[in-house]
Amino acid sequence: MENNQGQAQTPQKKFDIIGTLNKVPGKLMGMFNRLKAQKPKLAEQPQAGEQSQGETVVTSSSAAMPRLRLPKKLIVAGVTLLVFLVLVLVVLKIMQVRSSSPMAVATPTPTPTEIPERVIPSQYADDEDVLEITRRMDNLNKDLNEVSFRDDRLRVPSLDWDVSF
Amino acid sequence: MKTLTLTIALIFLFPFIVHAQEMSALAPNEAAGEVGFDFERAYQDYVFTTDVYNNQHSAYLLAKAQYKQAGTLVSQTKAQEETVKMLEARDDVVITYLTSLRMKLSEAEGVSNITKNGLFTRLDAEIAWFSDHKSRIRSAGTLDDLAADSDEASNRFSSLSEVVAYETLATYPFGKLSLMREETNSILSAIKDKIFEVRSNGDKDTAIIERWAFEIENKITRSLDKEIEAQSIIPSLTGPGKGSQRVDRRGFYNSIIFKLDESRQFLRDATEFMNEIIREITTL
Repeated sequence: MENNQGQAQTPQKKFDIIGTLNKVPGKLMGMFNRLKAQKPKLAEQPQAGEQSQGETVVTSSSAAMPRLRLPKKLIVAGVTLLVFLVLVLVVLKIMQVRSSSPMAVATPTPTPTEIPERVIPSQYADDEDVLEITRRMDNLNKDLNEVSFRDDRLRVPSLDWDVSF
Repeated sequence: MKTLTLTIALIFLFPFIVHAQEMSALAPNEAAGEVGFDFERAYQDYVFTTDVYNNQHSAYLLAKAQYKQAGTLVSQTKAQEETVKMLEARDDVVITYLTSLRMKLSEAEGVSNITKNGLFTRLDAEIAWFSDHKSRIRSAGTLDDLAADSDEASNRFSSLSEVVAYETLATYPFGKLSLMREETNSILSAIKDKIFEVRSNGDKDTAIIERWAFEIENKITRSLDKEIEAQSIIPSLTGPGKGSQRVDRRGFYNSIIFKLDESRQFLRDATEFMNEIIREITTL
């Protein structure tokens, strides 16, 4: 039932919107007519004064010009629209600038080149004993790094010792 | 005619003579069929028997379940047969495992002969016990007899075999470590001689290098301390392997290995320092 009501309300809303839209030209025409009507009124004002007072009134050109009094809402809407347009233009411009800017191309990070330490060899650099010590130390280092105290292959086997019936 | 006969006989006998010479060139134990029985070979045997045990254990569990479910004489007989096979396979695993440990220890360097022989005797005793136990399994008449046999082996393994196994596992790393420390000491001694030579020649001020050598000695001493700490844990491996007072042998073994690794780290530090001394000596 509620669904049916909802379905029924939707066309009603549509009609309302269409009705409102249909009213827009009429309202615009009404506003235009009101503005049109104000214009002769303002033009007629000095004549009416002349007739009533019997004096010649020199009206300035500015006074003779009709003063357009736009509705406040219209002014606010217009200003807002203007600001909005400006903002849109600024955003578009920024996007354009960004899209036209050159893409950041990944370049390899420069690796710092180590300045080789200047080693001045002493007379013991080629000494037989020193070379022998170095060789032995290399072997020892190799052993120290490679040796493993734990042999996982020889873990104590886990067997089923619980045999019962 | 005689010459011809002798020549023909020699031609026929020649391959046999050559083969006999080749055999005599081999070592006595190799000729007897013990070609290359080392740790790797023993380990392969252990892996093989473990596979056999796993299969037998699955068959035993199945037969046991069928017997529990059916309770027939047929299922009982089947369960008994499968239990015998499983128990034999289990003893084989223990025997080959202990043999592998024995071979590993025999190939280990740096372990004293006294230590090796002590462990060999105990390992051999365990191997002999399980071999004897295996030969007695088939004489069991009932499933209860088999269960009793199993309990006997279980008690033996947890109270003695496991202790020897862990002691052996913990012992052979000490040999490696002591060899490396000996080498470190020896290299340090050679370095000290070289420092003395440099100082005698007046080529360089060796005060700093001598202080570094002292630092290296400290590192070696600390390495030895760690090794002693590791050794002090070994007696903890003995103790009941079952019941409420059960000893965590695996945990103790891990502690020993951890201490040995710490000891090794001190030796690494010592070699780093020695490298610096050599660098200092070989540059102006």
